[in-house]
Amino acid sequence: MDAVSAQSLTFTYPQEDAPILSDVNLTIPVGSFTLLFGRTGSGKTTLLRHLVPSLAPHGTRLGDVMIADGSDLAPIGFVQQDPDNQIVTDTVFHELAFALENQGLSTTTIRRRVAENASYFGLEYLLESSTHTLSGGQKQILNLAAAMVADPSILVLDEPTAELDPIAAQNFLRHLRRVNTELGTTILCCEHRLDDTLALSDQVLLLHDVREAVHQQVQTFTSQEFVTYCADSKKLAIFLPEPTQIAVACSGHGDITWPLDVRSGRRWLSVYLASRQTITPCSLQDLNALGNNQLIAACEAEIVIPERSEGSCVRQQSASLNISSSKSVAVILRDVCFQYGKHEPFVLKHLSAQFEQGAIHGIVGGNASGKSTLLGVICGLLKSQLGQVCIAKDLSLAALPQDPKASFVCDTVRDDLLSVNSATIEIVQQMARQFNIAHLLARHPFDLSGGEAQKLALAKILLLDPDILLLDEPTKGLDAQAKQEIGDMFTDLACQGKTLIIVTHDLPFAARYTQSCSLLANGEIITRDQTQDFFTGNSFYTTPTSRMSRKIVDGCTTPEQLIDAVYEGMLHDLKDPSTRCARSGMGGDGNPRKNSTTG
Amino acid sequence: MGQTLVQAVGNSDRNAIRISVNRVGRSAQLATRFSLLHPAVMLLFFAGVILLTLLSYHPAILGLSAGLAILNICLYMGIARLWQLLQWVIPMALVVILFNMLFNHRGATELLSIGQWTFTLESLFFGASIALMLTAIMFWFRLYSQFMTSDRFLYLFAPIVPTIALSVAMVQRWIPLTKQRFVQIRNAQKMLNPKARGVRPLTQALSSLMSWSIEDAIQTADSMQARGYSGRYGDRYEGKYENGDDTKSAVRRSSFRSYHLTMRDICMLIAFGMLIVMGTASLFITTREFGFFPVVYGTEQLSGIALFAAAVLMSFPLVLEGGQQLRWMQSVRKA
Repeated sequence: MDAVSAQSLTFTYPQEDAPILSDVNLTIPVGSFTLLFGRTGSGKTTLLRHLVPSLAPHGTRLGDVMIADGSDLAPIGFVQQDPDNQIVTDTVFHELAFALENQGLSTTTIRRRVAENASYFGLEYLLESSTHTLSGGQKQILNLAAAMVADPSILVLDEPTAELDPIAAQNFLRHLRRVNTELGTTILCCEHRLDDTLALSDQVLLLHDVREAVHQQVQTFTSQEFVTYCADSKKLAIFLPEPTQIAVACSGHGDITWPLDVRSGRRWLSVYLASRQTITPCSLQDLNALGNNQLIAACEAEIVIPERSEGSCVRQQSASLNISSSKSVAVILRDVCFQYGKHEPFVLKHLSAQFEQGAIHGIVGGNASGKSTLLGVICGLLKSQLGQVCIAKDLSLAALPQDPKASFVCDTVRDDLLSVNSATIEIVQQMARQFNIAHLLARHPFDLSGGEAQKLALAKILLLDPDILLLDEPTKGLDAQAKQEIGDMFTDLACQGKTLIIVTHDLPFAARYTQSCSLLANGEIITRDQTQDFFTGNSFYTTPTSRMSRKIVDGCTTPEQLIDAVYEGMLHDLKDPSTRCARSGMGGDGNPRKNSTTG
Repeated sequence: MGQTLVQAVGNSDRNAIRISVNRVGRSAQLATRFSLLHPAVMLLFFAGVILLTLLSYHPAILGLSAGLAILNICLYMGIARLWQLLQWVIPMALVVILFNMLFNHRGATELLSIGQWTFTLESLFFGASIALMLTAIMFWFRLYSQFMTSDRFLYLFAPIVPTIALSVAMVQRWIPLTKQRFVQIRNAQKMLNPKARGVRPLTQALSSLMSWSIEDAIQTADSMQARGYSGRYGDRYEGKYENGDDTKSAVRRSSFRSYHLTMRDICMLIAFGMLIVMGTASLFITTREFGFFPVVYGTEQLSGIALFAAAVLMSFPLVLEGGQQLRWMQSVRKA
């Protein structure tokens, strides 16, 4: 039985010639968790809105949308991207009651429904709070609860975790999973970050851009089929979760069950390494006829190494970068203490740190650990009560606000860039080309997508030509492709001798692009190390790749490293079978099971 | 308020702290017996107290009102908060007295004269009693805003005007959000252009704030519509439903709020009503007998009934909390 189905849905916005949705056919089974995936601008939001009757956009529409259970007052719940904008009222209690008030239910029924709903989503202790005091993650869970309180049979979500940090996003998805498995609500979720959602979903709808559509605009897959599809079309591979990426890169298109999360990733890795070793001796003899060089070439052909990012000059340097080296220091913090008010607790406590010039420094840590406060103190927006903040002489400093929207003041992108002091048309155009936003110059800044807005804000900051850049969550809301672009840009800047200090929750990003990482907790820097050592030293607070390969192949923090390690290890084994047993880290004791169970 | 504005950096770290502060403040307020009263009782209490204070010029009643207001603030909000309030209430009172002396030259007892300007004792008295009245009323309103939170207020008035009740809630949601955004925009400006001064950056920030708010209001509207808000309650909803019902009778918006009006609340309402009627009636009669100019007269004309009514009404929270404390101590001893 289908909860929602669309038949040959074609839709054109008013005053546009080409349709944005063309001949879309889809079915969403009752009780399923369906993931809608598509690149920016492919019409994801337009499609979702057609499935929510009260929000159907204006325009020319052909074809049918059928919704089962249409007899309910509110058959479909809808959660959008921005946590703030969806909240209508001032208190959590009222927000939860809003949908029920609209239905005109009696006070006793409303109170009962709100109470059970709040306890289900863990919001009881916040019931009396004002909505503006909640954190972003809490707000989004409130939005989910406020949509669920009307007891819809279908829940539609439009990039619900895009504005959240990864920890809050995971928490949100846990709640979503409960709604799906415990209440049986049909879920249609549109996402461009597949890291945590792919493992949850029963069905993946891939929405192609109407201009690039192969033969159908929407293709339906199971999550396994979807990975196979991505493995075949190289373009989409970077959107996959890290364990899946590694498996795809190593196995090519083997007939295997793709690992979708860390747990299955570990199992896959152990089996993969073991199978390599049991097979190799036989195949080694077969291959013995070939010379050693040819053997290596044969191995290379077998292993597909994902494309590396272009500007990796700093990455190579990173191994040689020593924190206490003679590199000149850009920012020094000595014994900094900070509190927001006289009677409020200290957010930073005797914090000392130094950041070297010409490198990317990451600051990671949980919510409320004082990360953003630290940036505020460094850039001088907040004055520390104790201690010193020293910026090296002749170095200028600029900060990127957490929400890029805050930095837009003009009606077009061009004017906005020109509003920065000392910017001329030529410089602006050059900058726009460099950031790949030249085609957007005439647009309104608020009409840009998340990635484009982030780039514009960054371009504005760079027009000031600062030596030190402070960035607060620069990857929030970006898809894998945009992250890669931004990361490469950062690397280029560091190569030019600029110092970047990045506060982020995005550990894979930090592992890939920073040279040093600090863990901030409870207002203190608990540990600071070179990125590689930092992430291999942590066992919980580290990247999925590291968690996936820990105790099987040690010392890998990014998918590339793990793929390299697997590949090099194999070559090593092939060249010299006698050392195989010595490499215990590779599962060389011939007992892959032991390795998978120790993890 | 200015301080909180600067502090509202709008990051999650900050929010976490604000939550903790907020919760402590709320629990202190919720733990009182007074906060358990029905909102109607609270409203009548504050209306009566403020009415009695406003109607009387007599220093005895004003002093009583101000003194009891201070005691109540100490009880419900703590001495630290009282001190914060006094820091601006006392200068304000002094300014009122000073201005009255400067511009009001009536009165018989001359204290000082500089050229044409004469300063009289009666003018000083008059200014002082106005300042006392203002102070007392400020204090009572501070307590009013502590207890008559928007949900209590809306509970009383929502059934009469449901749309306005929702609008009030939405405005209360909108104000902190907009403040937070404004601070974010100003911070971003400071970083981009630290030397910019004057009006232009401010107008730019305001226009940018406007675009941001309008842009986001569309999403809020979507969110409301997706949760079944039709915008016109009372008449028929003409929109199309996918299930084939073209029109559907719209329901009247209901409200989630509920307070029980207990017998005790009713008794209090009656008692308060009687005290207020007594007090105001006697004040209307006696205020005619009391005045400042040309000399202070009629001070002995203080109506005992008015004083009694005011004293009983204004010390009511103290009695209530005292009784509660007593009962609590007894129950602890028994256990």
